[in-house]
Amino acid sequence: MRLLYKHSRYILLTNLLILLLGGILFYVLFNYIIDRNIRSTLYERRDFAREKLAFSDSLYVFQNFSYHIFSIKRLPKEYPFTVTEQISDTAIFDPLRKEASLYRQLTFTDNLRGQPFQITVRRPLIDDFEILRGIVASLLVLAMVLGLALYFSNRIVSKKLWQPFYITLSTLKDYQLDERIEPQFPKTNVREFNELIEAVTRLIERTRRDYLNLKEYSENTTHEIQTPLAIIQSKLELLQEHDLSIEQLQLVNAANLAVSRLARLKETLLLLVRIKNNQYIDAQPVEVAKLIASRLAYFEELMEMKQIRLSKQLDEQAKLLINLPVAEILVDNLISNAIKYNIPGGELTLELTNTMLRIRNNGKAPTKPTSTFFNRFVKSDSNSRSLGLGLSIVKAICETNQLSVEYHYQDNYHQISIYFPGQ
Amino acid sequence: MKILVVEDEEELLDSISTYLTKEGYLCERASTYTTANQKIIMFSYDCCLIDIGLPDGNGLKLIKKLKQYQPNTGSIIISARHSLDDKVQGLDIGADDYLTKPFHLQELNARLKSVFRRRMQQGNSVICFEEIKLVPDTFEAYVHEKLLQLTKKEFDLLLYLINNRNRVIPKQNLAEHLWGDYIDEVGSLDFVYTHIKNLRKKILESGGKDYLKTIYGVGYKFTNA
Repeated sequence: MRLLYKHSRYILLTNLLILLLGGILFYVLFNYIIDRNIRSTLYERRDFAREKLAFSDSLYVFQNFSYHIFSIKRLPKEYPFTVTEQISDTAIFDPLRKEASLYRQLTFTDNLRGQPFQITVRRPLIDDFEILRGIVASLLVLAMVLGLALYFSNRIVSKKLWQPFYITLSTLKDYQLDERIEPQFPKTNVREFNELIEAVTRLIERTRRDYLNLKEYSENTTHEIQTPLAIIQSKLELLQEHDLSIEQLQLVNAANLAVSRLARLKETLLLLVRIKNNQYIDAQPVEVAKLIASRLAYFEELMEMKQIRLSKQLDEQAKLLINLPVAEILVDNLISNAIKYNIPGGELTLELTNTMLRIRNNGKAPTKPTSTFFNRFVKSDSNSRSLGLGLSIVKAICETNQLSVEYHYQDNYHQISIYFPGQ
Repeated sequence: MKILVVEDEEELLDSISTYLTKEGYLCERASTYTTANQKIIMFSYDCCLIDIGLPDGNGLKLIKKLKQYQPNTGSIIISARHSLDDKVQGLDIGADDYLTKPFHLQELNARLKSVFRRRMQQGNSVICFEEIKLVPDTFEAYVHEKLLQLTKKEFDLLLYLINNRNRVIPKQNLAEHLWGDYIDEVGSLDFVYTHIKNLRKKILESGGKDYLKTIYGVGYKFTNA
């Protein structure tokens, strides 16, 4: 769930709660004010009636008022008289509206100039239900206005206020440590975002520095290894020149083989580093079919020895913008891989269109998860003399040349497809 | 034959000159750009082996100097950097060949011989070993003056064996010589064995003697001893 929605949900819930509480408070307060108002009116009317009756016992003065407001009853003089006062509510039928209306009344008895009266003064009441209805209606309107306001403010907020955040996020998503340029984050005056950007920048800087150090270290190591290797190899060869027994020769040879292997490893790793560092930049349109044909010549012999049947379907028009030596390395690795992991007498199929290059070969089912095949030092057979770097190189070349590469294994066929960038 | 070896790594310089001296060459050493530069200006050589990465200068500049002062002298670049640019640049300014460290001294020997052949005899050289005769420029091989039907690889193999005769040649060296960078792809040294077997058969069928000795677990030795 988006932070904004979550945030809005809380705000909306609190607002509704506040509206509800406000409504209750409103209702109570309203009732209280009305009640007080009615009471004071009733007391005023009581005092008015008393005053008038104390002056004269004629009821004439009350005829100006509706019957509902003052109803005055003379009580018999012998009536056991006590002064009482009582407030109550009553419903009186209103002939005009043809329904009963609510009144609050104050009934009191008083002895005025020797005549006991029972006097009732009234005031019409507003229906509770009507008050409630009014309050609920106004609250609903308020809630709607609030909701709308929240919706629009959220749109503005997410568009403008959170923009630096989203830009930062997408920059981070696309960023790779081995990029030459440092990531560019948006400038903002929001403190939280600034802190985030600052923290992220520091983290990246640190990680990048470590990464570059490590990279430089491993490149240097790889590079520095070759002089000692050359010395070892030359000394072994000089040793071989002496009159050695077969057994001694075998020992020297075993050491020699190990040195050769190390030398190849170093060479391949350096190549991988150079490709990843994008050191081969001058691209040119390469006619892929021609290139494949010329590279295949180098492998003819090997294919013959393994009795591999080659079939190819090459689109002569297919062109690719790439550095030529790199393209050669790519094709070489693909072909040699397809030969190396082929079975004796197996098939090798090359298919080239102007959008992709596909190479298929027979072979044993992979023993390792195919997703690891492009990783360094993953070999199908750990005893093999292969270095396990061939597909890493393929992948590195594809990555630096905007090609996408896929591997499939199905029905005893290994298949590697390379898709060219869309024109 | 006088050779100048320019290499800043003393041990390697020592190995190369020891090996080449044994091979019968007259070896001069230089471990810095300055000494190499002086020697190139002052003395004449038949071939120079030049390391590109020197502490006080670039070996490529030495090649240029060499072309200027001794245009007929052969040159082979030795480089720690296996970069395509270096190779192309080096050959462009006139170096005869290019070797990447680490390399086999046998390989160096073979390359050196081919440089001499091209340089000294203007290409019309013939290499003889007992009844075997090789013409490198036409890739023709004869046994008792009878033409052998050899493939390009078999010819290369025979040339390498003769160039490094009387010496133990590990299979690995042969494989690297024949397939270069594709040695990894070869996957197995059995390929070398197949080529050797075919070559031996063809020489024997033409009435040649078997000079190829197999050294079990190591490689071969081409010898008339």
